[in-house]
Amino acid sequence: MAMRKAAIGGRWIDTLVGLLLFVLSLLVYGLTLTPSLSFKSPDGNELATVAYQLGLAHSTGYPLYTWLGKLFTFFPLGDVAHRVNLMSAVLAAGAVALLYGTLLTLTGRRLPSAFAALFFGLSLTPWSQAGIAEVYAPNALMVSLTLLLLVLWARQEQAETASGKQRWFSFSLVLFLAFSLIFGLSLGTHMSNLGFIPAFALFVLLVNWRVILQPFKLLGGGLLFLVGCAQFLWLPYKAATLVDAPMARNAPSTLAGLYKYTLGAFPQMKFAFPLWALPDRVVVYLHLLWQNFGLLGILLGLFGMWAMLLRRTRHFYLLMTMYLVHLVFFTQYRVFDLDVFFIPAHLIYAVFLGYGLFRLLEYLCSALGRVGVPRVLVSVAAALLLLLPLVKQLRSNWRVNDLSGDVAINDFYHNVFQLLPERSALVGRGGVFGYDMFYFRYVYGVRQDVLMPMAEPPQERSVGGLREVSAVYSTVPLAPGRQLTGPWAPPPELLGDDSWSVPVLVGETPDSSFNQQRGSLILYEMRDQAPPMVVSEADPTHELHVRLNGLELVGYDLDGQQVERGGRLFLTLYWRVVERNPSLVVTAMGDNFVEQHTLGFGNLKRYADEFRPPKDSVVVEEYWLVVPSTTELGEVVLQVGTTSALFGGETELVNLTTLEVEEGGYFSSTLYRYGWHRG
Amino acid sequence: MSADQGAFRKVLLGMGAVLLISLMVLASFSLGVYVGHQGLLVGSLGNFGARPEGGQRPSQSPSGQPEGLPEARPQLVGRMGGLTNEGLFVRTADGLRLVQVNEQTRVRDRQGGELPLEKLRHGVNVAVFGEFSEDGRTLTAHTIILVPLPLP
Repeated sequence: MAMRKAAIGGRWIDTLVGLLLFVLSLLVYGLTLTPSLSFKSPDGNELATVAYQLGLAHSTGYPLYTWLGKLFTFFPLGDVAHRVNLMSAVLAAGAVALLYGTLLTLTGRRLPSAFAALFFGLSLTPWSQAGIAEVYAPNALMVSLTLLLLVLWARQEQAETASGKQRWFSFSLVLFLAFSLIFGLSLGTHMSNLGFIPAFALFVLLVNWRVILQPFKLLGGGLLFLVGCAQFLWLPYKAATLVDAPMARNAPSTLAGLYKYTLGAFPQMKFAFPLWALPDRVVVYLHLLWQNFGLLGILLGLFGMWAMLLRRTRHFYLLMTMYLVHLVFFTQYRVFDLDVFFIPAHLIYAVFLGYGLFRLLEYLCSALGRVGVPRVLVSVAAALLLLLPLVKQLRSNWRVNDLSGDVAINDFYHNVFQLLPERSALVGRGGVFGYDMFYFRYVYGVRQDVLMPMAEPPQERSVGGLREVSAVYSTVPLAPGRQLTGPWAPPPELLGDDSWSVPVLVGETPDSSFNQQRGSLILYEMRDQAPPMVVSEADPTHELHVRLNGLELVGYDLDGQQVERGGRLFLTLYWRVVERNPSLVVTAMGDNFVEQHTLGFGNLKRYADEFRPPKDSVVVEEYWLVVPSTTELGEVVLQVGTTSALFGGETELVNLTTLEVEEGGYFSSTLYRYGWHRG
Repeated sequence: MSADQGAFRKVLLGMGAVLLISLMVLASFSLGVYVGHQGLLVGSLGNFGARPEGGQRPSQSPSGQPEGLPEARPQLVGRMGGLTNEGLFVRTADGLRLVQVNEQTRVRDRQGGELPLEKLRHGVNVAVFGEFSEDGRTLTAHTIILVPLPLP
């Protein structure tokens, strides 16, 4: 009786520790959560939008992700994208708690299990996916849950076999069926989980090969796996909603299309490297492992592998086969953002790591116990010591993964939709990468009078009201020679051959994109005539004549000093080119750089070639500048300058004026409340 | 445990040991090949992926820039992770990024002078100019510029 009570009490503590890990992880993820849309992931904005619409995401479709995302969109906090981001945080925290459960089942010890779970949760790549709308955090949860159920089944199956109390209906059967269903469902968060089948089959046979003589169990498991897979019927059902031309080409409306959209998706990326490149690919993986776990984690994981082989041979084969399948597949995968694909492999490595730590602590306790040191003392000392790597993970990865101030996209489009004239057209990137724009139309139904051809299915793009548009705007520069081409090209009827991309509105450049093209938020008006961007004499309201790197800031005009957070100010800058120098123009508010752009926004060379302005002419830049909604309230200094930091030069800034920043009526996460929602 | 089970376990242990040793040999061999090609510099595996300072560091301009340098902002900037025969890995503020190279890819210094590919040692900072594939999931570089971004 006393033993039974102790066991129940122990289970309560285990559950409590699991909950604590969940809460701790959720707290960290919540504090660093992206408030709405972001460019952190190439697909995140699409996934958030598709979840709200109950539509069809890019290959492989991600039905389960879409449905779970839809559930989270009902959560009354922030805007729709924020809620889908929150799903990643909640499910990633769930993955940490379930990983703890798996380790606890394997080790029976809370300290190494909790440490390994948290160490994984705070590692660079898994954490990076917990703050944005992406499939990888939900997939980590599904993999953790599948693994936990399988490990629990094995324990139960062995207990029932040992006790000789095997019946046709037992708890082990329930666990097996639950495992089968969850595994089938997990394909809806990432199709690569299918590669775990050999590992699961091997493990089941190693635990109890007589399972193959139990057709009820096998058929039941297979059936529930298929029930989980049946979610992919969602794909043909929603195939007609695809707006991405490359995806629509392989629309899953036929069996062949369904294959190409799922198992046959992205064939150019799979097994893309020759065998002689294997050492290179292995080094890339080792680097990613190093980034996430460091030397200590790698060594503990290696030790854990050996220890598990000796002590828990069946589990070793389960985990090692899962691990190797993922490793082989993704080291051969040719993709731009490779790191996130290894998250399930990292999760499995964390199990090895936890097991390694467990064995190490056991050896320590045993060795020190022989000289009279009590176990509790060793455990307390180990716990304190293990805090160090956790704190290190937290500190170094917080800086990289903190996206809580990333409101650039929302601020920008809030202003875009205010500025666009009636019946204008707005073009931009197409496909998956255009959802920073489409989101506002699909989710909030903004500015129905504005034609957004890229947000329409490809076959409907060149019809409709193209002839009636009053003006054409673009979020990408479409100067001659730089027109978007291919399946994402805007309808050719919209643009003249000689159009000029004239900047109208410049948004904040997100931190992570500051040196790069991607992430630039600029609204251009497409005009047939060249903008008056060069004048022989300037007459600014405020004269400065300040030399900044190779440019002279002659002066500026400003429409007012009172601005609203999330609003905009109209700025005119007058520049004279003094010497050839690779500098960018930058603007800053207070301590924060807001944006950077090339002088003349890419139009200067064409203008000089076509109009041959006299030497010493003044370049005029006039545009609306978005005031980030994260700007401090009160007095903030507006600075303008130039930089050639990327090429080894200096950043030189001059104070223009002091702005009075007030709270705006707009705040990125409250779009829903302020009447933007179509309902 | 029956004799059969004992023998089976030994087989499992033996196969597992062979597997683990093979993995460790493969990892060591790969590291050896890599270090043989790239050298063991400051940027050895420890610094392999250090992140460039903050996201808010302004960058380069195409206006009036020296010959040989592209006229657009780079697709990405970051610190070289590694150079392989298939491409390079760049540690950016968004994570590790794979960039393809081909025979048209040129490496230049910030004055526009052409450099051999071997200059792309890990730890150096690069700005990558290139084209994304149609599906946007691979980037092929046409120009890679060595840049002196300040590092932590």
